[in-house]
Amino acid sequence: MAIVIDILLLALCGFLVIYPFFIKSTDETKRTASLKEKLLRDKEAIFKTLSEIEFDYHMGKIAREDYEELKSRYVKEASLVIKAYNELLKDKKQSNLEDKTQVERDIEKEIEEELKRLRNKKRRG
Amino acid sequence: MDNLFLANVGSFALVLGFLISAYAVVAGIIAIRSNNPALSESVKGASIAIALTTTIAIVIMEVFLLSGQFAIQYVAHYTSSDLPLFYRFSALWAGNEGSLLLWAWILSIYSLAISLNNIVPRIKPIALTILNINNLFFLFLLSFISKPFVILNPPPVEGNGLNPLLQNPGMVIHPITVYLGYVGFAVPFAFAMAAVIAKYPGDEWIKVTRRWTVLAWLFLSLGNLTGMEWAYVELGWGGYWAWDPVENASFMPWLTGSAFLHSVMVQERKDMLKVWNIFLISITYVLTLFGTFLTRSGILSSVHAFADQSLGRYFLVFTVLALFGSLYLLIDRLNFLREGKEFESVFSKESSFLLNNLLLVGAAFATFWGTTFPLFSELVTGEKVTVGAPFFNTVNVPIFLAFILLMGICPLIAWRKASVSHILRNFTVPLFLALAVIIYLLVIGIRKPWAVASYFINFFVLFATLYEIFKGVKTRVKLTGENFVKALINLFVKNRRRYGGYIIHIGLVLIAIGITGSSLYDIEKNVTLTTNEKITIKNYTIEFKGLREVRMNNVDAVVADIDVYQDGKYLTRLNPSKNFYPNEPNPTSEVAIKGSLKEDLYVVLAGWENQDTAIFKIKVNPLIAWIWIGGYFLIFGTVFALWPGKGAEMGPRVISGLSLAKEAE
Repeated sequence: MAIVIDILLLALCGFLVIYPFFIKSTDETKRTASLKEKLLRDKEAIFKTLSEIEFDYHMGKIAREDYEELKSRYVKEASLVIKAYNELLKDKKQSNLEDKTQVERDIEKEIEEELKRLRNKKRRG
Repeated sequence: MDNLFLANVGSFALVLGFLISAYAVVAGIIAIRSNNPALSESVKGASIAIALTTTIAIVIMEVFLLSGQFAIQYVAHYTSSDLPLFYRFSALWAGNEGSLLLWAWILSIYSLAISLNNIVPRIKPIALTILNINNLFFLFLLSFISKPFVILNPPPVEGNGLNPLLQNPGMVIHPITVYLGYVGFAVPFAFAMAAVIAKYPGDEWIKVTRRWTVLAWLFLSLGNLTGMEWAYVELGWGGYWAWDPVENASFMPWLTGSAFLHSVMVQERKDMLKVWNIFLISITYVLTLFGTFLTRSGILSSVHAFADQSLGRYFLVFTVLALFGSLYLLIDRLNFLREGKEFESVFSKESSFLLNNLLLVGAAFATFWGTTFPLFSELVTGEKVTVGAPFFNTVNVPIFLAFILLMGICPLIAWRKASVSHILRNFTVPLFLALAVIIYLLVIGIRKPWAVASYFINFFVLFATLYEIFKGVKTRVKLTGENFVKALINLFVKNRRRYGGYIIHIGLVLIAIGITGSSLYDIEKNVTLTTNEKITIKNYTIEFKGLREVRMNNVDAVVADIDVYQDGKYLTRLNPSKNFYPNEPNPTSEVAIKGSLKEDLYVVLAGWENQDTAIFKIKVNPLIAWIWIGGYFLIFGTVFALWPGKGAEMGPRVISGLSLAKEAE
């Protein structure tokens, strides 16, 4: 009985180790997906930073001049990441908006609105 | 019994797991060098196979333990027919072989989880190979050195039973949580080493392993807390922490792990402290191995070590290899790890985090030095000089107080740069409230300098944290127009990572308040009482009513009946006992405790002269309950911060959009 189970276990483990040599790789698709995820994560991180800077400022933790400087820096960062993200989508022909989640759309919309607001402010100033 | 053939299957599964681990290490290295995706996938298959073999082995061991298969040496050593089912199950981690098996199983499951996740693809194969080296080590021990499935011939009719001290719910949870913590730190360590080996820029490895780090820290915290509770209720000496080498073994990686958890935030946000972070996670991982070496080798005397010198030797070699391997890589890649930015101001969150790190590492070093001093003294003078609790307390108490103080200051300071006027404004309210508490404490007679210092710092931190939350709610009300309750809920829910951290801080403050009260204001009396004799301790009157013999499950017990009066009014009856377990030469003490938020009345039946005369150790331990309550806060806060979903994301950071754009090309 023990020998039968041992052989079955050996066969199963052998299969698990060997079968990848007989299937096709999907490496490129994975790389694109992972880079897309990374850019999305970074976009979200910048957006979160902006909201945190805003919050810290209103809590009295950051001086006004630091607040302004940090905010404009992160908005610039956001535009670069969004650009990189859009380039990636364009390159990989994945630019259809249906692929995006609601959260992704919200983040983009809010950062773009923030960019627009700052541009208008600059023009007025 | 007819399930004995499973022993063969268990042994075979472990050897097979060892061979597959060896394959996974070699194939992993080749796959990394040749960039062969099929070979990488094969390593992933090997991870599944390793997890499968260790799962089969652990299930077989549990079958043996639960069915009382005494033909298996391990089962005969650690269980008996009259042992409750619950403790038969937990006997898996009562001995060396079983706990190593548990360790190997957890490690293999963690490795499997990593291999199945598509995280940081560029360095994951290296991290997986490092984890597989760990798998290889543990499966080598289980296959050739510390075999769990040894068959006794002829089989004994009865087992030795489980050590009575381990027959406690705290001791069921304690080891498994410590192992989960120890093994958990292997994951961020593997990724850190992988990032260094591959010269992988950025801090993505920190983000993807953050959950593993926090989870490992949570389990290690739980392990330490349950260990403290077990020592308090089971060992009967009246305390919960004795700076025993094995206690220190799990405390040291907790300290450095706590430092790492904070310093990675600086790297995440500021691209700083890269070398320091690699050093911290390496040292944390090495300390988990060192802790295991201390526990296994029996090199230092402890109340709960498994002494097996040969096993200890293997752990020592592995620990030294891990230490020097990681240090070599760190030094070799110093250039690559050079800092992205510098500290912009002394008054900034990042500089306060660095200070907090130095204190935690300082405490870890002091604990390490005190723990290993007997070894060094023996090496130099030939005499083993033991370092006691006074050394650890003298060195560590000021460090911990400074650390707690920083815990209150850090959240009030902004990243990058904070103005002194802002800091002072934020400190005024908590400072005033803490002073008010101190005046009250002085009035009621709490005047020992260390107690006053500790309570002042702890209450300042408590009020500073609560004030920070209050200000957050106020700001949210102003910005969103939400009502106070909704703003409070949303403040926590939408940034669980930050506010979960604050809950943990509150928990640590409560623990520190409990430790201060119980260690500086405890009262102890050792008395011999005859039947109906009374004794007074603080405002309690203890009346000894007599001894009786009781038979419970697998235990014969001598129980004392004690009536307790508080301020002259009857409070409760306590029943401390001495328990006699079969196959155990010495009885164990079962402590009787009447606890409240204010203090614990702690009674131990130390012995008896005859039926009417018994010896007791009676203690009043103030504020002990706050240690456990603080522990619950700490656990809740960690789970709150860790729970997946919105609000638990990584912290914001400085991002180089240009480098990302370049990568996208």
